[in-house]
Formats: sequence, C-alpha cells, structure tokens
Amino acid sequence: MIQTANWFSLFIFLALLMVIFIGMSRAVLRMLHTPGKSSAPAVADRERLNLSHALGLYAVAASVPLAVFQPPALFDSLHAILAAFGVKL
Amino acid sequence: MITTFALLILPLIATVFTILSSSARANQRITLLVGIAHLIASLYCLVSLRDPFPNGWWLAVDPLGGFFLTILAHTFVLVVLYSPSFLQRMQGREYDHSKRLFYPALNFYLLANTLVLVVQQFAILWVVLELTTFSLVPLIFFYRSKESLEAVWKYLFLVSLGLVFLFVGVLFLGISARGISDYTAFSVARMTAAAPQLNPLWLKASFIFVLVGLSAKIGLAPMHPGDIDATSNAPAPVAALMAGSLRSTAVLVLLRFYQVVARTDVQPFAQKLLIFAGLLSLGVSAVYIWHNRNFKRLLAYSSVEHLGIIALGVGIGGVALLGALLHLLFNSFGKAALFFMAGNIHRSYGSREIDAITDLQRRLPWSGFVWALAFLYIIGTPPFVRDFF
Repeated sequence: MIQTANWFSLFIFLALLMVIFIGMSRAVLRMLHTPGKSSAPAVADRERLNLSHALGLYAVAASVPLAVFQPPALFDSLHAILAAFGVKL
Repeated sequence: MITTFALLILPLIATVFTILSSSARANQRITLLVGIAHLIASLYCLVSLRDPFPNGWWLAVDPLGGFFLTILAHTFVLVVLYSPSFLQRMQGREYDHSKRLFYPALNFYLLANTLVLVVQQFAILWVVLELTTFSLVPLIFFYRSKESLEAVWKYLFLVSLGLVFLFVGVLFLGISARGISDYTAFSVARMTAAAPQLNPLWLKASFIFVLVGLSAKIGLAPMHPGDIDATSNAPAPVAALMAGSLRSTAVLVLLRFYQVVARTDVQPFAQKLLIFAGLLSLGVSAVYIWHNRNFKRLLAYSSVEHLGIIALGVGIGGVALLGALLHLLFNSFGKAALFFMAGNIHRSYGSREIDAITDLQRRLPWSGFVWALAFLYIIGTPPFVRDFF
C-alpha cells in the first residue's frame, strides 16, 4: 500500500488495527485483573504447570528463532512460492 | 514412496484403526504417531522441494502445498498432544459417544485436509474440500448441546452454500478455457500455463464466485458467521485446529485459483477484490471485537481479522505476499496457544463470558500468563516479530 501510495487504504487498515488492538486489550486485561468475589485460591487448588502450558509457550516462542535466523529451508521454499506467483524479491 | 505413504495412507489407516479400536489410549498413540510421521513427511517436502507423487498424477506437492502441509501437520500434532487432557476432563456419560468419535474424526480431518493440499485438479479440489467440512461435524458437535447443534447446522449450511458458489466459479473457469484446452488442462499446472489465453470476462466472473464461495471456509466477511459460531462452540482443540489449519487449507485453494489469475490481465481486478475483502473483514471484526462479551468468540473474530490481513497481503502482492504467508504460519502457532488456554479457562470458570472471568492472573497463574503472552503474540508485539520481517 505504501509502494502504490494507496494512503486511503493504509489509513483505514491502520485505524481498524488500532480499534481491534484496543478492543482485544480491554477484554484480555479485564479477564486478567478484575478482582474476583473470592480471595486467592488455596495453595492446593493452585494451577500447576502442565503440558497445555508447555505447548502454548512453545507455540508462541517458536516464531522467534524463525524470525531471527530465517532458516533457508523455510525461506527458499517461500521464495519458490513467490516465484510461482511471478514475484521476485 | 515413503512420503506418499506418510501423507495419505497413514491417516487413512489411522482413521480405520481408530474406528475399530475401543481403547482411547491406543487411539491417542496411533493418532500422535501418524501426526508426527505426517509432520516429518511435510517438512521433507518443504525442505527438499521434492514432489513425492509420480508425474502425471492429479496429486502433487509443490512448494505451496509443502508449506501448507507443514502448517497442517504442525497444528495437528499440537492438538493431538493437548487432546488427552481435554478428553480426561470430559467426564460424564453424555460425552461417551463424542469421545468415541473424537480420534476417528481427527484422523479423517487430517486425511481430508491433506487431500485438499495435494490435489492439483480444480474439479476434484472442490470435492475434497467438502470432505474437510464433513470431517469437522462430529468434532464441532462434541458437547451435544443445543448451541453446538445450531453451530453445526449453521456451519454446514453456510459452508455448503459457499461451496455452491465455488462450484460455479470452477464452471466459469472451465468456460474461460473453452476452445483452448482439453480435459486434462483443468489441472493447476496446465491452467496456469494456459492462463494468458483464458477468456478474461469469464475468468473475472470465476474469481468473484471462488472468492465469495471460499469466504465461508476461510472466515472472511460477509460469509464469516457460520465459522464464528462453529469455532466458538467447538471444544478448545477443535477450535485450535479450525483456526490454525482449516482456514489455511481454504486459503491454499484460493491461492490455487489466484495462481492462474496472477498470470493474466485480470490480476489487478482480483487484487482489488482481495483488498476489499480484507478491509471488510477487518472492519467487521473491529466492530464485533469491540462489542463482544464471549472470549471464544473474541478469538474467532480475531481469526477473521487475521485472515483479513492475509487476504490484504495477497491482494497487495510483492513482498506483502511473503508477509501473508508468514502471517498464516505464525497465526496457526498463536491461535493454538490461545485456544488451548481458552479451554483451560473455560474448564476452570465454567463460562465463556468475559465478565465471568475475574482474577485470572491469581486463579490460573500459568494459563493467565500464557494467555497474556499469546495475546501479545497475536497482536504482533515485539519480540514476537512475526509481522516485522
């Protein structure tokens, strides 16, 4: 959009992203921080680290090495895909 | 040959095995093994850029297929690893039948989606895409509640309606090639090669119908409601599967058609349509995210937003297309994490209403932490640099 100077579309895009960002933040922060009626759970009831958390942590962390190291195995394939669409970077 | 076996035959065997076997543990193990074998085969296709199918078949793994297969298999393995703890929580006789169907449906889902990703013929692509819809029915209807029944019917109706549009799009694509190609030219490679000779008017009409038809499956506005209800009423692992891989599979089908259009003068028209669909989806999700009171629906609308961004990236083209592909990959990671935590939160609070979830940070410290982290990830906050390539 920047390359084609389509500023109107870019403006709408950024404005909508901002609205979505604020809307989601509002919901997530409310869930995290709104005080409940009961006090903190007893130690025995406390949630322990389990496989679902490990999977969640892995899922969010996995993109960082991909972004930092940009493995040729992935990016060569992506460039081959782009070439199929006539895009050369 | 081994790759072909791992991609297609193993999910088929696992589907049959899990139908016949009554042991949940054995079903889980075989499903996990098949998922891992599928992931290894997909990664092999992605890295080696080799097609495991013989030449002349209607099946092939091109780089595009290899990339989407990896997204599918990776999400599938995560979901299979999460599933035992979910099924363990579902105590009660009302869930017995759903639990029995869970692994067969999961394996059939893998098979149906793999077929969509490897089929290289437009008419067959339409048929196998319908299989992915049917594979999801028992999974979405897991809770057997009135809401999930309504969600299943709504999903089936809207997606099937979309597939009718897609069928018309396929027919128009055939008409656009009338007189210049034979029967076998309906393959993706032959149609792409013959693209400059296609009738532009029919090709435009074809792309309009294809985009509208696939919108229901991808979750793009205005055909998104069926997908929203299905995702928000499905159990957490199924919702993760839908948000992480099913929508990607539908995007691949759209890209197969776009591959043809991209080599013709119709491309600027298709790009405008995709940009419009992307912005419309962003607009719709912005409105609904703001007013929404159900956290699973919030995630479902977040998927509409992200698929809108992806449609926008494909429409803009160039480096934005690379961004769109990476966004697809990382969206599947983030949505899996968010839906897994949504499952934990739902189980602990017994509600999907945002107002009913209080003090998450103290009551579920780990789920709250991963939930917040995944939220930062999904909105593209550094260091989760998925949007900053």
